[in-house]
Amino acid sequence: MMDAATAVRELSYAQAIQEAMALAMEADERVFLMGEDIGVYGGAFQVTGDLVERFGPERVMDTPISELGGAGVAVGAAVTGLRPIFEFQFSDFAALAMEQIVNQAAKMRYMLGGAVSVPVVMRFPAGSGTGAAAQHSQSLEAWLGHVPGLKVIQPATPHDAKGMLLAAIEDPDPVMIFEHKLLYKMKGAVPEGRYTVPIGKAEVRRQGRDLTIVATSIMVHKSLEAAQMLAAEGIDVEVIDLRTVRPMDRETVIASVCKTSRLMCVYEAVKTLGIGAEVSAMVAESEAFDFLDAPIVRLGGAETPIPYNPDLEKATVPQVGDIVAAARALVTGAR
Amino acid sequence: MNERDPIRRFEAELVEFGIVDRAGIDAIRDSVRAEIAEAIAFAKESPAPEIANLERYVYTEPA
Repeated sequence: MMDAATAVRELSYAQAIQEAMALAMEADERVFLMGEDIGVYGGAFQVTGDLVERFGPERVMDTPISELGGAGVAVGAAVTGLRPIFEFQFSDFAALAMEQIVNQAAKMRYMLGGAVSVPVVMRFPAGSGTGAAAQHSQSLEAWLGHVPGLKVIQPATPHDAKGMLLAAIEDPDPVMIFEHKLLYKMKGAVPEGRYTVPIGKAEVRRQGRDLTIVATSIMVHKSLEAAQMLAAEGIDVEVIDLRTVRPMDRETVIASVCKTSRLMCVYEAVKTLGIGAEVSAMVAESEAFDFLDAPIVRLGGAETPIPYNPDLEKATVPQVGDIVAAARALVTGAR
Repeated sequence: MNERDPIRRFEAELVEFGIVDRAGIDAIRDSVRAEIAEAIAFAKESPAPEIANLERYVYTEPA
């Protein structure tokens, strides 16, 4: 029987994040939250919830509608020794704060010869599927993943959301967390108490022989569903949850492709110049190249903004049926 | 430095409002000059960086 410290309950992804923030604030008075409407309102997606009642407005700080200003305060607070967690209402608004993220947070340690570190955490609700249209639905993790000095993660489960956020808070460098909005209500097993899930480690979610799918965020779940359906056809798919965009876990991906000899990347972001390109190149440049039995396939988002119309919105990003069809074609050679 | 130089204008205002006198302004300017000279001397006397250290300080090194 498990003791209280390791008891596992079902929590939603949003509750898991809230629990991680509360645990970190209880354990370390340097940890505090900043963001628009995260106080009394409880956050755009109710992730902070009632934390303002537990920790007060000094540690659950509502910021004005200026992502650039808020991010700047968070970066400054981190440099001076605090542990801020800055919430964006939508990841799309990273565009407004790029100066602080890309030109300041990512470069300060380097430019000052290691004299400072920037232990800031930024949380980005991301992705489509909520009918929020083109300016509130993007998947921009590759933007930030391109920048040395940042770490970029995409937890896919409530368990990882809590463990990776706790790892991010104790990390001395800036960590950007992309949380798919459709995952917030998803429930899963989450241990009580403190634990961390390492940044930079992918996870094999399903073992398989015929094909490696490297998926990110919500596409992990869609890929697992597709793998289930393909299993009925005798196609055995291995599903890797990439979890971290930067630094990327080469070993896990390459070992898997050496085993299965086929690779498909499934991600919601616009297909070109994205994570699929990076994973594909990483494999093509590695010893796994010699094991490939078929061309690598990328299944990503359409080359369009995310449309408002729900049917069009759905057609913009890979769905389970698309994954099944693409995997079947790849494995059977019926391209 | 012309009449619209904001530093010069600010100095003039500080003097006008009696917050600092001309000698005080000169002392600040001298100390800034000395600090810059010191930094230039430090840079010139320091060894050139090693290319092997190119990737140092991108991230915090594990303790």
